[in-house]
Amino acid sequence: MATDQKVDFAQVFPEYENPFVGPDAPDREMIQRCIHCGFCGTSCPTFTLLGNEMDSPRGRIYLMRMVTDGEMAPNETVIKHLDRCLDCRACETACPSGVPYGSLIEAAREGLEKIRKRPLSVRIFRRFLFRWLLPNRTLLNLAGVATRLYQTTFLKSVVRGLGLLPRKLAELEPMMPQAPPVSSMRALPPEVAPIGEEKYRVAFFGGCIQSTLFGDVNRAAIRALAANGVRVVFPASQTCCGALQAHAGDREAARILARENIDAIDAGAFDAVILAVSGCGAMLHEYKDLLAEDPVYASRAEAFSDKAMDVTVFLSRIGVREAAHPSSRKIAYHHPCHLFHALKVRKEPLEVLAAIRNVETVPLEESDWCCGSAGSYNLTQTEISMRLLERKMGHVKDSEAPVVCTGNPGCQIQIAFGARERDMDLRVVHPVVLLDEAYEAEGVYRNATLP
Amino acid sequence: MDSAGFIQKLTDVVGEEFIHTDPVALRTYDCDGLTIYKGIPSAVVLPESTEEVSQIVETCRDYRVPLIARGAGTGLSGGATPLPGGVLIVFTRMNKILELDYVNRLARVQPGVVNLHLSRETLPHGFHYAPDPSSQAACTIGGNAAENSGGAHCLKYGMTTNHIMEMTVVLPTGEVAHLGADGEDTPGLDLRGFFIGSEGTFAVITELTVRLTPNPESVRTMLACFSQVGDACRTVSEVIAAGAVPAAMELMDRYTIEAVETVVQAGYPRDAEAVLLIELDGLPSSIGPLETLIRDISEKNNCSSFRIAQTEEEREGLWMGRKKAFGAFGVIAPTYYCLDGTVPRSKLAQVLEEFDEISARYNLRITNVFHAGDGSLHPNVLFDDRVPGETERAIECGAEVLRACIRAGGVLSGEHGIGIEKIREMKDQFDEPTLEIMERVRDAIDEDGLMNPGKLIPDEENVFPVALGGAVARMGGGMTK
Repeated sequence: MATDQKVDFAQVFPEYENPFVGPDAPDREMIQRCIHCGFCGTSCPTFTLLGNEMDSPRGRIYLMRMVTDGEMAPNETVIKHLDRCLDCRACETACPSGVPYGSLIEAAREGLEKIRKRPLSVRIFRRFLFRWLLPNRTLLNLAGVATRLYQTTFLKSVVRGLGLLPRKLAELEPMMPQAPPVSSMRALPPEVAPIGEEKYRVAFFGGCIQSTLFGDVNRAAIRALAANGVRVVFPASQTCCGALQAHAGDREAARILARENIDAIDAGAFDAVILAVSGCGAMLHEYKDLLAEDPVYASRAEAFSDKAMDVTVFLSRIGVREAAHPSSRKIAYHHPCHLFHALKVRKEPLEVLAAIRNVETVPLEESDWCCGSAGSYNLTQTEISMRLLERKMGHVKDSEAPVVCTGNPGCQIQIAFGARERDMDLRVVHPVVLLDEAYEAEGVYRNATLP
Repeated sequence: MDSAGFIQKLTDVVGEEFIHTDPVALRTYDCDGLTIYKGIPSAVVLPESTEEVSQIVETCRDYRVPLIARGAGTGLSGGATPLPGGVLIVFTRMNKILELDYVNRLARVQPGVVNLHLSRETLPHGFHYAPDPSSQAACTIGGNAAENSGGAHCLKYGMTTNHIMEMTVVLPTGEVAHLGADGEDTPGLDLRGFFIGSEGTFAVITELTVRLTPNPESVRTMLACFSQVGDACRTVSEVIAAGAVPAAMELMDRYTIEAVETVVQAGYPRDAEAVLLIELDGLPSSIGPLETLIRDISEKNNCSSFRIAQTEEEREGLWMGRKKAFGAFGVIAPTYYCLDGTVPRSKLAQVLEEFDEISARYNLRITNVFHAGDGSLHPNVLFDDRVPGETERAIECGAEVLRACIRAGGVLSGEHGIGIEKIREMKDQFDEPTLEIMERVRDAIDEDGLMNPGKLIPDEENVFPVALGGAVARMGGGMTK
């Protein structure tokens, strides 16, 4: 194959321009920053598992560069290897040159969406999922209730017995998290007063899937904040953060949601915009980049992003109130990728855990490695995802901790699934929930009105 | 050639999943850490055992196809860049630690084991693998052996060759040989030492027994800052002349400090012309007097400040700056070219002055960050590859830098290897009879000329063209050190 010959895109893709050229394309200057040193290789879970250069960050950047420069068409091979990226951004931690890999791969995915030949049914499903279901609390709760009904009644055995689920769905079904009771999906109160003197006032961001499946985590976070002298306001018109959309190559959908959230939460009026869901947190931090070219929203997006903060970071900064947990436990902490690699939040969750007496954090090998959940990766790249999960569960077993703490719902679902599959008696929980349990047991919440 | 038959044979050896022939996949293997020369292989294979490697080599010999071994592809001299059409044998799957023997202080590993991964495994048991290239978090021990890599701590502990006891290699015939022995001495010819650093031109390494070094009892790291580069260089010479052997002694100049401080904030003073990062290790009782000695010599040479890391965190911070220095150059220049000429310590100051003169002549900035303790330099030529002609100018500038090293009584390469990068300068380094005996040795071992052709020893037939224009991503970069 001729290496310096430019591909004639008009011939290869008659209906499209080069998908990696244009305003949302991977930034050529940032691609240039890659010095091809290969330091990222060992940090990359897919390179480590598969051993292929094309499945390493350096190889993927190389592919992007060749497509961008018109040396190569974005064919099946390019798509396959870019699709295999977890977008865990561990390579950003390893990179000595500061290549913003996350934004490159997301831009590339957006480009690939333009040329991808998806069946109509899939396209309709994606559009429904990203543009309708996730941003709509009512619909999402309905889905949650339906799932709950399915999981807890005779429906499941009927559907399974009759083989009614399509094959792909049937394969994926065991990964479904247990849907919580409907009471957990109820809306958060618009405002919660602090216990004792008011020291801070924050806005709370609930997250879409988080609010449906992990509403209890949000409430635990709000109670723990209140116990630390924080007034928590929940602006009701907020919506889905747009992270899943952006990671899947639909940044336009993410932009629409970003604007809605910026309108919904007057970030400047609060000390912080707090989340107990790390994937959304990384997204809120990216609003400033996402809307950098938006004449109306650019500066507001920047202010918004600067205020976004994980609940553990906020608590650790203000000096989290200590308490003893009712049951003495060893716990292992798993770093969610977007907290650790994207937001560089590393010590704070451990500091919050250190504030809980009776709880001992034991070492977890490769605790900063992706568990394979990675947004919808476990659904789209199931085989690689399961290999990563196998590796993660092996380390969890070795740690001998009966509790794994982690701050992201995706990781929680994945690791809990791993434990179910392996018949492990393992509790998977957000760090703030343990803190909340400790406060509760110590009577911190007595006489307070809390969600 | 029956290329379909050839590919089929290779596929039979490794299995369909572990051979790549797709043109897109092959492109990502067209160079290692040195991106200025490229070659697209005809196939990439990922074997998992010595037997598979042996069969691959045999197949290549039968079909007369050149073969090139590759570890992590972090090398800086083009050692793993394939001759176009050659077969690339990638060792990412042969990455197992086979045996750890703490009594005999040995580890038996496959070549694809990442340098740092071995130390990570042995550290809790009181041992580490001493050679520590800056790329140690990514580079492989097989690649280290092929290039005879160095590292910051090689000043005290020696290069890769001092830490490899035995190697299993596949010869150009496909036969498997065992070089060296577990013991301190080997009867017969020392072929082990002979093959280390031969850059894959003699054989393919498939297993290594390496030495494990006890962890030091204590470590102290310090930073001496100077307002003259010459003063820093004199400090280095005088420390060594006084009989002290620090574990590491690294020099960084003003430009490096600027780049590092912009990216990682290692805590180097921005107003210094040079800093020396010095590490001492050993028994606490022996470190104390050494520290006093080094401080005295630094002060005598007008050091502006002298700081000792008080915490492990501070120590890691100081090293972080050094380890990320090359990557940080990306911030002060679009492209850079990293060389590794080595000079006698006594000539450091003089050679650095000469670099300044060369830099002015070519109008390209040259930065310096290097293992000062053993005179192993890393001059980096900064340039912009998008400016027409500047890449060629940088290459010429680099060649002059190397010639200056040779004139000062030094050598072409301290640790990156010759590869494609410095093959032209081999004739500046060696006289005709020396080069000829090298050639004869190579031809005797590799009769068919299929082992990593065009590397290490000048070869008129296999010359890699410079990849210019759109094909250049970045030149040099990274750091096997």
